[in-house]
Amino acid sequence: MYVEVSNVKKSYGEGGSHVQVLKGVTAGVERGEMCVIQGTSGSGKSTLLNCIGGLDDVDSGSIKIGGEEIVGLKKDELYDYRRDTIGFIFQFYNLIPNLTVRENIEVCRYLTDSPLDMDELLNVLGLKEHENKFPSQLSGGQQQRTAIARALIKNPKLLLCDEPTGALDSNTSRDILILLEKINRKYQTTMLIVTHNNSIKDMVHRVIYLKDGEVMKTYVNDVIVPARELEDL
Amino acid sequence: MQRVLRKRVIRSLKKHFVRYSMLGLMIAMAIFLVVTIVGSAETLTKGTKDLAVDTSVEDGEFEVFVPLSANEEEHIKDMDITLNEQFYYDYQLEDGEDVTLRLFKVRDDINKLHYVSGEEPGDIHDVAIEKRYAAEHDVKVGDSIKIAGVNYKVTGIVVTSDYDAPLKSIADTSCNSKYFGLAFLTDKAYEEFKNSDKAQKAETYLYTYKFNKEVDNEGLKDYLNDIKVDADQIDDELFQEYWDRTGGVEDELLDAVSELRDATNDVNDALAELSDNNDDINDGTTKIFDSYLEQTSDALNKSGYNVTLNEDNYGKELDNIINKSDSSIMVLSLKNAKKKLNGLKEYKDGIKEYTDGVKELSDGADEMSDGVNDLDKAVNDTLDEFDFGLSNLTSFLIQSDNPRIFATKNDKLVDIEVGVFAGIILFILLAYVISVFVVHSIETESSIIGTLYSMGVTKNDLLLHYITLPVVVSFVAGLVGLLIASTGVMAPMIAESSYQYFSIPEFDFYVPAYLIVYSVVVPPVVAVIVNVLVINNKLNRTPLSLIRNEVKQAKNKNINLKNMNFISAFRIRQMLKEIRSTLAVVFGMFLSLLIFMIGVNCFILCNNIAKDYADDTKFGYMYTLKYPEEEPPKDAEPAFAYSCKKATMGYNFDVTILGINDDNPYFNVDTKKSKVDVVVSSAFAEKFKLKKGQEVVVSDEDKEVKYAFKIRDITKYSSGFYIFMDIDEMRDMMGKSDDYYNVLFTDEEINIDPGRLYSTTSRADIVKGSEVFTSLMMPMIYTLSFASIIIFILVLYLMMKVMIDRSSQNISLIKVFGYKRKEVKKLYLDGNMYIIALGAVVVIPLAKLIMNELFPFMVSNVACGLNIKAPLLFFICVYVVILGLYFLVNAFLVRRLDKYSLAEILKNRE
Repeated sequence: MYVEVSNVKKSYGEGGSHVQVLKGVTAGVERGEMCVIQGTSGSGKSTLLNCIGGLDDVDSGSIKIGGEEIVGLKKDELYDYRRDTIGFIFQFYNLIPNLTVRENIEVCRYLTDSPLDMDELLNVLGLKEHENKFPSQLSGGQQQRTAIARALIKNPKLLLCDEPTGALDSNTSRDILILLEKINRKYQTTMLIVTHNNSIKDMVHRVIYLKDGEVMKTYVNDVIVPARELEDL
Repeated sequence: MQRVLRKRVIRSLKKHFVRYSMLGLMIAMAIFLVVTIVGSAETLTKGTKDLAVDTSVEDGEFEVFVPLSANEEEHIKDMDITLNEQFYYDYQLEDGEDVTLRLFKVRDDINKLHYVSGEEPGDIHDVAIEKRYAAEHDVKVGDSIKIAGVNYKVTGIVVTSDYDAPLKSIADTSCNSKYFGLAFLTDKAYEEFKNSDKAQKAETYLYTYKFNKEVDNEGLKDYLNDIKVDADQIDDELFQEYWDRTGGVEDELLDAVSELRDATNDVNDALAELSDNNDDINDGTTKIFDSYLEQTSDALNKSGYNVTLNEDNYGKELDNIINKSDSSIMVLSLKNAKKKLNGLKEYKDGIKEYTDGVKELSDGADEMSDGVNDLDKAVNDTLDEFDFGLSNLTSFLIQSDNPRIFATKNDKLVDIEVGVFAGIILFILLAYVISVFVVHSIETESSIIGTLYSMGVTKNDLLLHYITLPVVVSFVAGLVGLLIASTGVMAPMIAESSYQYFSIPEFDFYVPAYLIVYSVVVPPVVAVIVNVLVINNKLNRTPLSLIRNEVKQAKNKNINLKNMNFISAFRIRQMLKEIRSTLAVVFGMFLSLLIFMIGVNCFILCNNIAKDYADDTKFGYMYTLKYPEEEPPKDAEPAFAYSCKKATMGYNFDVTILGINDDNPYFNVDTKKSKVDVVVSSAFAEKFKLKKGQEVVVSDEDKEVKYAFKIRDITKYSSGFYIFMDIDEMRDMMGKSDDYYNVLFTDEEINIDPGRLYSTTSRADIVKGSEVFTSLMMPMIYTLSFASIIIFILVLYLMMKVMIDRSSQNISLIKVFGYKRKEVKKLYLDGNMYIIALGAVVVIPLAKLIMNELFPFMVSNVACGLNIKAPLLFFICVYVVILGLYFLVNAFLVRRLDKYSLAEILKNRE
């Protein structure tokens, strides 16, 4: 397994406000797989994603990415880990408002010695004609595509997407998912997608279902539905 | 990545142009202010220093009763000293205006003339006139001026470093060029004047000197002190009269001791002679006695009695024979012999007692003679030690003690201290404003930063990015401030009062290297430090915390406001929500007020000095006497003044011990018959932080003597540092006669021969002196006050803008709800008035209090008290002005409320 999560526990707060968010989660994702983490609100899916991305620490357990343990890494080592391995996409795009599309992407291009080709990426993501626009001049979908491009430019081995379509309409969501699918195929990027959207589970290789901080079920799709054919997005 | 982010820097600058222009304006103003104030002071300081070098300013000067002999001058020159005669006459012009011109020869070695305009006098009746006098009397090159009946052509307007402050007397409190000036004549014209019998006063024999190598003022002074002069040589009747009364005492004392010694010697000699005969007398009487004993012994032996009589046994032996003898004749003879021997023995003992007495008397006379010799020696030693011999030296003034030299430089020390200090406060304020901006920026962009973090962008990358703009703005603004200030655009205004008071040429505005460094380095460095500290702290949060823009909940947000109306409750909630910005506004107000209070304290000090000098100076005239008359004039109150020194904060100040009569009407002092318990002036107590019961020590540096007193009371007297004590006790303490005095206080001007006077100080002079102080400080006071008001407006605007910017989402939201502009203003802007109104109540007195503590250090070189108490009305006025400025800023910010569109809340999440 490329991503190996073993018995990860995570809690927040103390005393009366103590909440056990992850109660010993164990799961794994193969290299190059697209995986959806599903669950209801408060099930711990974003927390799990953040722990895998090194944005949050765990109380106990182990997270291995490509065989490397990330639990217990020092701050600087986590920087390197995120810089070299991870790409993040959030529900809210968090683009730098006074940088153009190209410039927003360039911010992360310099984090790696072997970035993807900017123009190719802009073309793949359909941003070429918007490359000199500022975020405020873009639609939500275009902004999210810019955020994806920013995450991809450094050619991450693992792309973590937290509700990437949460703020988008159905059509735009489909476009984004098609894009992710395309990227996965093109760059063999392993993807973990946290979503509420039940339809997305059909387009990915693997599904992890969380409930109350525990893995209720995990399975591999025998049949993968292309994103363009997904319904009820 | 920085290359890309740099593009953002420029766009951020464009987007927040108002914010950064305000910040830049503030920095530029701060630098402009500091460079202008300090630069002006440095210009005058450097200018007068350079001038002093160019004109070869003296290292010191001294006056003598009679001109030095050629040998004495030679001896001084051998001490590697350049000596110059700068004799002068004080000539009172015959225009009835009491104008004195001090006539010198044109100098060519020490204290050379600097020609502000025109040229050196060439013809015999050419003259150069000192600049300030020329200005006051509208004298220009080419004009004619009449001195002692001779018309002189003015060929030059000059300044000279030894009259930087053209004080008539070094004891004068202020210059008045309307009544005193300098004129420089050609050598021939000077001699012509000297021989013309037009001189109203004796010539003053002033010498100036410069050390060629090693400075040795003490050595020169010792040498000059040792040059004695015969009083008869001094051609000054007033001196002669005074000397006869005072200086002749030495001779009388020596004569009396000499007479005593002679008389004692006579007595001693006589007694010695008498004593020399003692042995003869004793020997004679012993021989007579012994001879009679022998005769008696022989007679008894012949009568068959074998006895030898001596002094000790004759009585007993004769009694034995008398008792044994049957012969009545024999018994009678023996009784007669015994009686005779007894008589001889008594005579002999009496002679012995007499000679012993003579011997004791003689010994006593020796002792007396020794005693007289001791007395003679002691008197001579004392006379030697106190050097009652008349020294030719009448005054000795080294450069640093001369109030005329470098007066401009010394006056400008306050400006430099104040300017630098104001700069420090400005930079703290600047740092604070920048930090508020940075925090605001980071909080606004928290989720972006978190996202970049999550991608692996490091803290250092972000740090570098976020400090770029404030650092560049700070640097550029500092540079702009420096460049504008360097043009000297406002320098003439700051320096004008100095040019109109001191006798100095106008100097080109000069910015010293340290100010350049200060201007271009300090602002960006402050920006870097503040940003690194603040950003570092902010970026220590986890990426997740940044993405979520988690804000710590203030503990005091849950206060119960149930009984309050909605508007008030909302404003309080808003204030609590923005507590940090709220405090930023108050802190900004506090720092602006600190700068304002520097100017205010200068103003209050000057104002109080002017008022207190006028109130406290009860006498009309104070005459400091060189040769007091035996009896003080009628209607004049005599006093005894003695000048000492006391140092504080690195400066040595004159302190006058003033002996006064208990009923002196001019000082509200209850003197006690004590040499220890004294009363000190309030100015002295304020400057040296003295309290009742404390001990104070002053020193007479010339005599290397220290005087210690205990402060019994502090009397309100602002015009000078005084220690008041009973005049009789002071005379006794200083070894002066019972009627000695050297100062006279009067209500009205009295007629005293000018030759007796060192100086005359009128109440009007003192009051004018205090006003001069004010006028010299006013430009700086205006600048500081104006700058602090502008800075306060900028800080208030920027901080309040940050506050409402932070609430932009909420403002958009309530607009969506249907609130109108006026209502939005009520909720988000008008609430700030509480902050300003309440904050001002606290920070106005606090800023004044803090500045009161710091202010003494800024005026540490100024010889005056530190009455910086402000009336209540002042605080009320400041309060009203602050509220007024708030309303002004508020009016500007109202327009900003319109800029928050309804889409804001729809576009963004919170």
